[in-house]
Amino acid sequence: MARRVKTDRKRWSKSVLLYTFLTLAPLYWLAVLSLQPNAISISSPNIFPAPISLENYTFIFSKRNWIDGYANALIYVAINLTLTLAVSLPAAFAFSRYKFVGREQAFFFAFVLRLIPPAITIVPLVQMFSAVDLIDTHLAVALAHCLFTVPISIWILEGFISSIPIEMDEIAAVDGYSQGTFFMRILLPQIRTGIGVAAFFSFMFSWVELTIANALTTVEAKPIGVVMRLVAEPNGGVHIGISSAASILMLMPGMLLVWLLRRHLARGFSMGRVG
Amino acid sequence: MQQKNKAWLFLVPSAALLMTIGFAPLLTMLNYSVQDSFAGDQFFWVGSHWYEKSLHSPAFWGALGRTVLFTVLSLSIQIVLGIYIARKLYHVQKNGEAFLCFLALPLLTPWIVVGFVWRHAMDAKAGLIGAMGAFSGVTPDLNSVAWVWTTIILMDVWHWTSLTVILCFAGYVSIPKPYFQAAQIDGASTWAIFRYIELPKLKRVLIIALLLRIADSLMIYTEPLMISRGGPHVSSTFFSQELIKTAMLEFNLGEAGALSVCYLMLVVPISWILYRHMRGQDGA
Repeated sequence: MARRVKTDRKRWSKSVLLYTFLTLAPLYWLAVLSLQPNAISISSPNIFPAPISLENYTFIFSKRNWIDGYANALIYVAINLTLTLAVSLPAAFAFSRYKFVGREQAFFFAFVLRLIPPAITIVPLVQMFSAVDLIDTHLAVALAHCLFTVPISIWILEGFISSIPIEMDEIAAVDGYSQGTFFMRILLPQIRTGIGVAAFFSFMFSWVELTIANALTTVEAKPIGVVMRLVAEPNGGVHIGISSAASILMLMPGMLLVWLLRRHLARGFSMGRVG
Repeated sequence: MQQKNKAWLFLVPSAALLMTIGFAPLLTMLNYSVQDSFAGDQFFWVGSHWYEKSLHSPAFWGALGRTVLFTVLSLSIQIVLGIYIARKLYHVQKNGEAFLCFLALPLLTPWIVVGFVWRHAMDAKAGLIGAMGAFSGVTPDLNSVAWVWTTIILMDVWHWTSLTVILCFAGYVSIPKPYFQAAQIDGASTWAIFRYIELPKLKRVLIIALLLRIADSLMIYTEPLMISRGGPHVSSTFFSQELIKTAMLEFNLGEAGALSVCYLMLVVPISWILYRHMRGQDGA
């Protein structure tokens, strides 16, 4: 058994293949459901779409509120990613490079905020955004999601910045770089992977979350997930076909992100340093 | 380091943001928890009234108990299975890294889609799992407590095991190869290698996975709502649903505030212990 540890002669692992199959099966099935008429989807468990029909997608692309919902979700996620990186990069730099008073406490405090369920903050958030007339805007959703994306991004980026030796800062200072130029021209390119991983984790919350996005929007900024919920309500009439097509569309940005990060998934997720 | 206080300057943007969208709402709920409202706009002090009510409320303890039970069941499967798959992926599987792309997909699936697809999969006539079950004589029935719980736990395992796999695989990749070679020369057993080399090296990523999973699992809301709407009766009503019901449907902000405070008093100390473990490892 111990021989298996030798990592240079590798084979196929049955458990990995089975697990990957089980992971992909529901998503594959979702694609099948989206590609066949609804009448078939609610009566028989097809493994292949038969007959193939694009009616679900045509329906979605012919309805203004579905297209807008899709765009709305993309817009607030983009705003959220920008905001998150803009505020967490300097914070991560501070946590990594300075041993200031209250450092540990501040770091944990940021993390505690990540633990608060949206269910707790949702009523005050609605009141707050209504008071400043930001309710039903993309910005409101993006800001509210920052509560979840900023702490984890600071945490990830702090690890990546700490893995770059502090001597680098000192040499750059000797060479006449100001702290700002050093940060932009030398540090940022080196923690690209970290930025990618932070974006992954932010996306993993902002794109998939619905409770906050639903409560803070009414018409103008409603995301596609909420539009879908209106037709996918468990006790209402569920339109399996359209819901599946919408689901597949909602999976696309995630697939794109995974493809962009494919080379960094393994090393990147060590958060800069492990053990 | 010099200019220590300059650090706070870098923290101003994120601190201001988190204070506004996190800490301020929290204080608002704390404020509600000690007041009652009359006609919606006149507030008066009621002290510990809502706390006493919450602590004697079977709905609160029931929802909290179910949430904790769900978290324990689902996380123990996810963490063990996650380590196992990551281990196979690292030691046995050719091109282990390529599999991570596929395994990452459930993590990026919107929660409403997760709930939707698993609910339909359990349909006895047209569902992937339901029809297979019906064929072999065990028909899934989402009107029974046992099936609802099985579905929700299976769904959560499918949804989140990948996070443990990816984090642990990253942990494995960063273990220096000579550790394994030395262990092999010493003739260490597979179990000994796992217990004394791999597990200590994975400790940090495992604590990260555990912290993230505990936090998110305790606040689960959308997926069980899609599966069963909290039913049958209240058997799958978790804490977040109970809280949202109290705050947004019954408009009982006082009780919702008290529930929130009680919840955080339970969760924050547990996280602090895990957090100390994790930071202790950094020597930071």
